[in-house]
Amino acid sequence: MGEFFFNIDHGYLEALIRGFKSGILTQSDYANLVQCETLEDLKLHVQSTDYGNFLANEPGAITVQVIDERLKEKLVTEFTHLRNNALEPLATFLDYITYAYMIDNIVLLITGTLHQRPIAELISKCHPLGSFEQMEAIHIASTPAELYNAVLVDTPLANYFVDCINEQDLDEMNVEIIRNTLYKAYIEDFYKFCEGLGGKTAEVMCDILAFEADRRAIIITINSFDTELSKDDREKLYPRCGKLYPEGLAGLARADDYDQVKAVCEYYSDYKLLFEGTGSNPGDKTLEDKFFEHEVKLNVHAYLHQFHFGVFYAFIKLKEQEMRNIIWIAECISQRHRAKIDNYIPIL
Amino acid sequence: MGSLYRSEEMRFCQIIVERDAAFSAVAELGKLGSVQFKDLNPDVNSFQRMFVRDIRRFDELERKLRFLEGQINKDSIAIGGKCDDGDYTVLPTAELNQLEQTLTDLERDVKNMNDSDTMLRRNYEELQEWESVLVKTDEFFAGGLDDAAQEELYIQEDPDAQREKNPVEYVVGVIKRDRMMAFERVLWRACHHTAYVRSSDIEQSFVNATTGEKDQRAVFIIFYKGDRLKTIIDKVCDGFKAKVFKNCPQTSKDRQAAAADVRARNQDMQTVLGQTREHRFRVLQAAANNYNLWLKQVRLHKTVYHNLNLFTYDGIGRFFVAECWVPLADVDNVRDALERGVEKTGSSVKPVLNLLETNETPPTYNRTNKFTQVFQGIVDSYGIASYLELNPAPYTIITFPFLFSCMFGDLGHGILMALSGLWLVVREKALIARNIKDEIFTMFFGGRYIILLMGLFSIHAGILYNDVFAKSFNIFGTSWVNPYNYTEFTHWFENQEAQKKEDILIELNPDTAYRHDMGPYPFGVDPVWNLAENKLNFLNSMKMKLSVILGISQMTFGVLLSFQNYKFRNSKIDILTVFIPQIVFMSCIFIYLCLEIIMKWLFFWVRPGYVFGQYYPGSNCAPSLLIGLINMFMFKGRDAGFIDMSQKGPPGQPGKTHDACYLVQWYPGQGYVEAILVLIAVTCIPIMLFGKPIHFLLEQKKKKKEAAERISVRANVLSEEGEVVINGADHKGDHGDHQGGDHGGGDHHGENFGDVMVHQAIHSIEYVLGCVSHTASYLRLWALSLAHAQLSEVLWDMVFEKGFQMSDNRYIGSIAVYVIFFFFAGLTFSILVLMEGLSAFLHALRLHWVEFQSKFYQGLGYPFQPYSFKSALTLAENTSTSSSS
Repeated sequence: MGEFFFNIDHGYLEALIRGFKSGILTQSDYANLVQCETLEDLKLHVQSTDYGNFLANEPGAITVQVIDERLKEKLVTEFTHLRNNALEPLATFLDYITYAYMIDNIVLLITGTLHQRPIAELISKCHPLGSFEQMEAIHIASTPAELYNAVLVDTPLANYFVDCINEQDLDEMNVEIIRNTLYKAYIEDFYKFCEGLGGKTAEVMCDILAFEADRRAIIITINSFDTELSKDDREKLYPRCGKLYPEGLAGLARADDYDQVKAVCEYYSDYKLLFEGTGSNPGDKTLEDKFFEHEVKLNVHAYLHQFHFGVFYAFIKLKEQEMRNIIWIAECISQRHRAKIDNYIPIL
Repeated sequence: MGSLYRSEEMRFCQIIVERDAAFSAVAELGKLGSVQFKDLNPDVNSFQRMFVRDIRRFDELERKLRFLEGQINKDSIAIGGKCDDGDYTVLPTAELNQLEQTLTDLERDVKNMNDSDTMLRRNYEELQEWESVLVKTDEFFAGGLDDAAQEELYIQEDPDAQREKNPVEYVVGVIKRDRMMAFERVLWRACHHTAYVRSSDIEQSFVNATTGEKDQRAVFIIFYKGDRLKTIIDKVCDGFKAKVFKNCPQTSKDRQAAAADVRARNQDMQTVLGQTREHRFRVLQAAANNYNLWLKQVRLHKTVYHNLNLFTYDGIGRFFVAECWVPLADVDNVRDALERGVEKTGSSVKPVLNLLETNETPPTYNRTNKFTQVFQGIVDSYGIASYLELNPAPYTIITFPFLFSCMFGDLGHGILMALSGLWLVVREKALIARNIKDEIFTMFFGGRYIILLMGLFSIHAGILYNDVFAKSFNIFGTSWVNPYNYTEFTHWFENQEAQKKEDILIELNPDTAYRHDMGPYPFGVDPVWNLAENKLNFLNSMKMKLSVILGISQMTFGVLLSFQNYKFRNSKIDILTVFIPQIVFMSCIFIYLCLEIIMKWLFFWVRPGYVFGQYYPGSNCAPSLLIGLINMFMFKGRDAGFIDMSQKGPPGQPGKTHDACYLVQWYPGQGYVEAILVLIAVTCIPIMLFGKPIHFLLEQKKKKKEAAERISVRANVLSEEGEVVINGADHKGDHGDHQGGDHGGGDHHGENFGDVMVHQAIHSIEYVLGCVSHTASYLRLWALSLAHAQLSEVLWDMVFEKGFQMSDNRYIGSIAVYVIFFFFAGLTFSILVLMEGLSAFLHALRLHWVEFQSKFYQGLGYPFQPYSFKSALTLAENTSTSSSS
C-alpha cells in the first residue's frame, strides 16, 4: 500500500537519487582513470564525468588529500540537499545513515586523544557526514562513563552507548570494543527501524543490513585471533540481525582460527562463494575486497526496485566505494606504484 | 547569402599545414568560422593529446580569471565591456606570456591584499570582542548577574569561604550564539553541575574575518572552583571554539580603562581597514576594466588548441594534417584564411587544402540570417534535414504565420501582437546590447520576427473574419437590408410588449433581405452576421470548409515538394511508384472534395433555378457533402436530380421534390465519376505498396545475372586448378551506382527484400491513413478559431459590457468603465493574446511538423557545427553566467 503514496512525499528525492546514481563512474571511466600518468591527468578526466569541475578552482598542484576533501564535500552537499528536502520517515532514515559516520568519528577522536593528538587535527580528519555539535568536546572524557555523561547523552547515539558504559578505561582495546558495541547496537536498531517501515524498504534494507552485520561478525572474529579478547566478550560484539544468527554466530564464537571461520561460513551459500575466491597469493583478492564487491552488488540491486528508501542508503554506500576507488587510483598514481592500480572495486 | 532551398553542398577537405604555422592558421579559420574539423584521434584520451599541456595552461589562466571575477564581484564592481566584442584577433605568444605574467602577479597581489585584510579584520574582530567582553563583564558584576544567582553562588560558596584557600575563579569568553545552548549543557554535565555559566548576547553582529560571513555571538562568564574543573572548562572551550580572554581586569575601574583604550585602538583600526580596502578596490577596478579582454584571449587560445588536438601529424612530425567539412562556397575563403595565417608566421611553406572523396554523409548546413533563423529553428527542432534535402523552412516563413492567424484571427489581438513584435524588432540593437539573460524574455526575443509576422497575418485574418475584440466593422456597407416595413414592426412590438419586455428577433429571408445587386461584402465576412442569432452556424460551416481546403492545399503542396526531392536524387522509381500514386490518390478523393466545396459555394443558393441543367428547388436541397463523400465510397445508388419528374409537384416546378433531396446526384453523371475516382484511388494503394519492392527484386535479379555474365572461369586441366575471375568492369559500375543515387533505387545493396517491403508497407499505410486523419486534423484551424472568437466574445459580454450597464448616472458609469477597462485589457492581453497565442502557436507547429513535413521531409541529417570564435565565446559566456547564477 505504501507504494501507492510513495511519490507524494518521496518521489522527488527518489528521482533525484536515481539521477545521482546514474552519474556514478562506469567501467570505461575507470579504464581511463587508471591510464592517467599524473594527478593532473586524473583531474582532466574526472572533469568529463559527473563530477564536473569540482577540482577546477584548486590553485597549484593538487594532492590526494585535496581530492579526498573535494569528493567528501560533494557527497556532503548532495546528502545535505536530500536531508533538507526529506519528509518523515525518510528524514529519520537518512539520519540513521549518518549515525555510522558518527560512530567512526567518535572512535577516531578517542583514539586520537589517547595518542595525544591536538583536537583540531583530529577534527579535520573526521567524516563531515558524521559531525555533531558536541563532537569537539569529546576529549574532555577519560572514561566511558564520562564520555556518555558529558558528551554522548544528547546525541542520538546515547541509546547505543548504554551497553559499554561499564568499561573501566579508555585504552586501545576498550575503544575497539566500544566501537563494535556501538556498531552492533546501531545495526540492530537500524534493522529494526527498517523492518518497521515495512514494504520494499524492509525487503531491500534488511538484506543489505544483514550482510553488513554478518560481515562485521566475521571480521571481528578474524581480527580477534591472537588478541586478549576473550571468546565470551567476542560473542557479545556480534550484531544479531544477520543471516548467521543464531547458529552461525555460535559457530563463530567457538572458532579458533581462520579455517574454522571458513568452515562455519560454508553453510551459507552467499558467504561460501566469497571465501572461495580469496587467497593470500599475489593476484588473489582479499576477503575484504570480496566483501566490498558483494556489498556493491547488493547496493546496485537495490536500484532494481522502486518506491523504497534502500536506494538512498545504497547511493551513499556506492558513492563511498567510488570515493575509495578514486583515492586508491590517485594514491597509486601519486606514489608511482602502478602495479596494484587495478585493485579498485568496479561499480556495475 | 546561401539559399534556403536546400542545404549547402559540403566538401570533405584535408588541410596540411606546417607545425609552426598551425596555430596561426587555425586561428584564422576560427575567425572565418566555416570549418568543422573531424576528430582524427578518436581513441586517444583527452589527457593524452598533443596540446594537453597548453589547454591545461589556459585552464589555469581561466581559474585565475575566475578568482579575479569572484573578487571583483565581492566588491560589487561592474565588469566593463563584453566578452564577444566582434574583434577576434588572437594575441601573439609573446603578449600572451605577458598576460599570463600579469594575471599571476595580479592574483598574487590580490591574495596578499586579502591576507593582510583578513589579518587586519581578525585583529579588529578580536578588539571588538574584547570590548564587548569588557563591557559585558562589567554588567555581570554590576548587576547583570541577577540577585538569585548571586545568592545561589553565595550559599554554595559559604562553606568554602571559611577555608579561603580555594577562591571562586571565573573565565570570560566569546562564543557563537547558536552554540551557546550546547556549550552550556556540556559544561553542566562535564563539570558535574558545579560550574555556573552566565551569558549575554552581543547586540552587534560580527563579520567572520576568514569566511566573510556574518554571525551573532555571545559573551559568557563561567564561575568555577579548583584546577580540575579549570582543565575541563578549557577543553570544552577549546572544543566549542570559544575564545577565552585570560587577562580580564579584575576591577571595574581597570575594565573601564581598558575598554576606553580598546575603543581608541578600534578607531585606528577602522581607518587602516578603510585604506586597505580602498587600495584593493582600485586594483580590482583596473582589473575589472580589462577582465573581459583577458577572458576573451584565454578562451580564443583554448578553442584553437582544442581544435588542434583533433589534428594528426605526419611521420616526421613537421606537418599537421586535419580533415574537415567545408561548405563548397567557402572553400576559397578557407584557403585564403589558411594562407593568411601561414603568412603571418613568416613561414615559407604554403598550406595545402585538398578536396577528398568520402563515403560519409556530409553535415547539413543552412546559412541563416536573423530573420530566417527562427524558422529554420522550427524545422530543425523536428529533425535536421538530410544532406541536400529540400528544406521546408522557406515555406514555413509564410505558412506558419498564416496557419497561426487562421486560429488567432482577431484584428485587435493581431494589432497587439504585431506591435509587440515590432517593438522587439525595432529596438533589436538596443536589446541585444543590454544582454538580458532572462529565459522567458530571450524566448520571445528570439522569436521576434515570427511574432511580428504572426501579428500581421492575424490582422489580415481578423479583417477576413471581420472580428475586432468580438465586434465587427461595417466598412463597405453590408449587403443585407431590412425587408420589413414600419407597420409590420409596430405590430410585432405591440404583440411582444404585451407578453414580456424583451428584444424581438426578426428573420431575414435571404431571398428578400439580401441585396443581390450589390453582390457579397467585398472583403471578409459580412458584418451583419455579428448580430445574427445563427452566427455560429454560419461561421462554423464556413471555417470548417476553409480549414479543409487549406489543409488539403498544404498537404498537396507537401506531396509536390517530395517530387522535387525525388527528381533531385534522380530516382525514377520513386517518382513512378511513390509520388504519382500519392498525388493521384490525393486528387481523386481529397482534391475532389475541395472542388465540391467550392462548387457548392458557387452554385447553390436559396432561389430555385437550374443548376447543371437540373431543376434546384431551394436551399433545403443543397447537397450534403459529408454524407455524399461516404456514399461515394459505399457506391450507393442515388437518384439523379432533385426532382422526381414522374410525379407532380407544386406549381412552378416540373416535378415533385425528392424526400432526401440533399442526398441525390447533383450534377449529371455524378455516380459514374465518383465510382471511377474511387477505383483509381484504390488501385493507387497496391502500386504504392508493391511498386518499389518489386522493382528492387527485378533489379537484384538483373545484377546477379550481370555478375554471372562477367565472371569467367579459367580452368587448368593439367594442374586441376580453377580460378574465378570477376570482370573489372563490375567494380566500376558498382561504384558509379553508389554516387548516382545516394538515396535512390540504386543503394539497396546493404538491404534485403524484407527491409524494403516492410519500409514501403509502413510508408504507404501511413500515407493512406494519414491523408484521412491529417485532413481531420486540419479542422483544428476551425476549432481553435472558434474557441478564440468565443473567448473574446465572453470577455466582451461578461466583463467590458458590464461596465456599460453598471449605472445610469453617466459620471459613475464612466468611472466604472474606466476601472473595468483595465480588467478587460489585462485579461485580453494575458489570456487572449498570450495564452491563446501560445496554444495557436503550438497547433501551428504541430500542423507543420506532422501534417505538412511528413509528406516529404526525412530529417535524418546531422547539423554542421563549424568551429568559430564567435560561437565559442557565446557558449563560454552562457556557461559562465549559468554557473554563477
